[in-house]
Amino acid sequence: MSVKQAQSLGKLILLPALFGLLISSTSVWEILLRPAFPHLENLVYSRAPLWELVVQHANMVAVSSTLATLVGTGLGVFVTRSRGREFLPVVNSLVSMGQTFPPVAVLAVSVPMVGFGYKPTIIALFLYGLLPIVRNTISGLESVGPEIHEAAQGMGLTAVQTLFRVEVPLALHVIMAGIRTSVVINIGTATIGATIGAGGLGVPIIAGLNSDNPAFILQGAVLSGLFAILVDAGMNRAERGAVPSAQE
Amino acid sequence: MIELQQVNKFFGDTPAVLDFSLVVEEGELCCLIGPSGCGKTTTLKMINRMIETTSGSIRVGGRGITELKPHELRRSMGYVIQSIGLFPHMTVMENICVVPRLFKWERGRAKSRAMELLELFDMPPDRFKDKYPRELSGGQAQRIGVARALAGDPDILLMDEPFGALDPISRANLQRQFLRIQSELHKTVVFVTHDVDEAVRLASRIGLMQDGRIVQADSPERMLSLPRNDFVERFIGSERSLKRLSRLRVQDAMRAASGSDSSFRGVEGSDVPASDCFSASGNPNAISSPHGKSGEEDPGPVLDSGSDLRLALALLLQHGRQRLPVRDENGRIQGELRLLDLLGV
Ligand SMILES: Nc1ncnc2c1ncn2[C@@H]1O[C@H](COP(=O)(O)OP(=O)(O)O)[C@@H](O)[C@H]1O
Ligand SMILES: [Mg+2]
Repeated sequence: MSVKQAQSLGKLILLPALFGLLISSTSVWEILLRPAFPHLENLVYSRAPLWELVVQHANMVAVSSTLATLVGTGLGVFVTRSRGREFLPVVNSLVSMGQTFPPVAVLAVSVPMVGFGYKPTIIALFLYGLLPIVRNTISGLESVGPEIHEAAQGMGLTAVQTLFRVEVPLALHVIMAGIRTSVVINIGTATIGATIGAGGLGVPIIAGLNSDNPAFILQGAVLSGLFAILVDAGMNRAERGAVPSAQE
Repeated sequence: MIELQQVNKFFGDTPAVLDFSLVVEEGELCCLIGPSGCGKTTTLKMINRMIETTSGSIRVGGRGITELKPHELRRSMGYVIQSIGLFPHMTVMENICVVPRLFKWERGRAKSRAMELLELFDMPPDRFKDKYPRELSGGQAQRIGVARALAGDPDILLMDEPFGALDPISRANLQRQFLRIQSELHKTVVFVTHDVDEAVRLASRIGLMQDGRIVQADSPERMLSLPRNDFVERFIGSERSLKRLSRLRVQDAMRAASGSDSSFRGVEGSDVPASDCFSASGNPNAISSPHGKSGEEDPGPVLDSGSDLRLALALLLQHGRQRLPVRDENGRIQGELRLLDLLGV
């Protein structure tokens, strides 16, 4: 068995199994963490079951990432059409500026506008997740050479046919990479939702910070990290299954 | 038939094509030549409306090109470019089937059309149909480029320096192959090139352009023998007579063999294998060496009656011969070509 196969087996079977175990059973955490924190009274976060926090977390990520994907790819397509090309420089600089903007700052801006809880978190995640998708959609579509465009036009493909039959298939790999990056970033960033009461895996982290309980912090951090790795591997696999020729 | 009448094109205030009139008859292969920047590409792209004219009219098959939607117009014409532009995510088969799919042909029909075209270009379908463009050589890729342009069986083919990026050998091969295919299909072709030799070899008519205007439109023979002005003469170059030879075939200038007293040289020791030259029914007189000198000197190659006189002249000079035997397509010796006879053509 090669290293690569071993890695993919790990990602496919071992990691999901571990993740499942960690969110369903508190005794596993006891076994893992007790030796490190022998004197800690509350070792496992118990005000809400961990799986419930995972569901909240997944919900925030799914909603914000779906929105970001729809809007981001749409925006990327728009600014690479002849009608939207005048906006391309603006969007490009917004995207590179946006990435230097910390997500907490987005949260701080959106709370006064829409209040606490779920909504501002979704807005922050959506805005933050938009950036890599727009950037990769643009660079993927722009990488389609002028000779390809000329051939497509000369053969009588309409603009829409050129987009869907030629440009998107050629850019798909890069666009998908942007979506994956966005989702992974969002899984990490979604933990800040807990600071404004949106739930999710940030909850034990915040609780741990407040009550000086490193075990709680570890639980939130380990679970959101594992969650990000799992989702990334899953999306990678789904993409390879869907477009075999996009690899190579 | 393609008719351009007093077509003008300005990019802003800059003229690119001026007062351009030309009729390309059905089945004609018209080459547009001229120095870089003289407006060849612009002219070609106005025919399929990838560039709109500033003024003037273009008619294709009797209808104004603005009567159709641009993409419909383009589907009725093949379009081939130097950079080929095969779609990298599609196999050879899928690339060829793009236009048939736009026409909504049923799958079987599109596929068999693609097979037919691959055969036509001497690319065995079993070997090539599932390849991706990156697996093809430049010459193979451009063959697919031309095949793809022919897939929807258009009457018209627009080609912009299609063989310009190929090495000389593949270019010559593709030119030959394209001529053969054109003699079967009789498409109406507008072929842009800056290579005079290519134009002379391929064209039934040449339109020479300078600064957006057409300077002379004539058959290659007339253009070579009666250049209208200094520019034409300079552009065609100092090898006019050689270029004319490339329009003529060996069979046009050779002397036919007369019975058994042939004085043709044999082919033993030549660089053409005998099995290549003679069919089983080959003329035995031609094989034996009448002077009995075989092996003592280079007997020289055998010319093909169908090859062009420029090549024949090169071979005569290269082998230092006054004459060389000529064989027909069956490999039978037909006659001979004499150096002095080339002076008369
Ligand atoms: N899209 C364009 N915008 C402005 N000028 C152009 C454009 N396309 C071509 N030109 C100009 O028009 C002239 C003719 O160009 P072109 O038809 O491409 O020449 P050729 O194909 O003979 O080399 C050139 O001077 C070129 O710079
Ligand atoms: Mg050009």
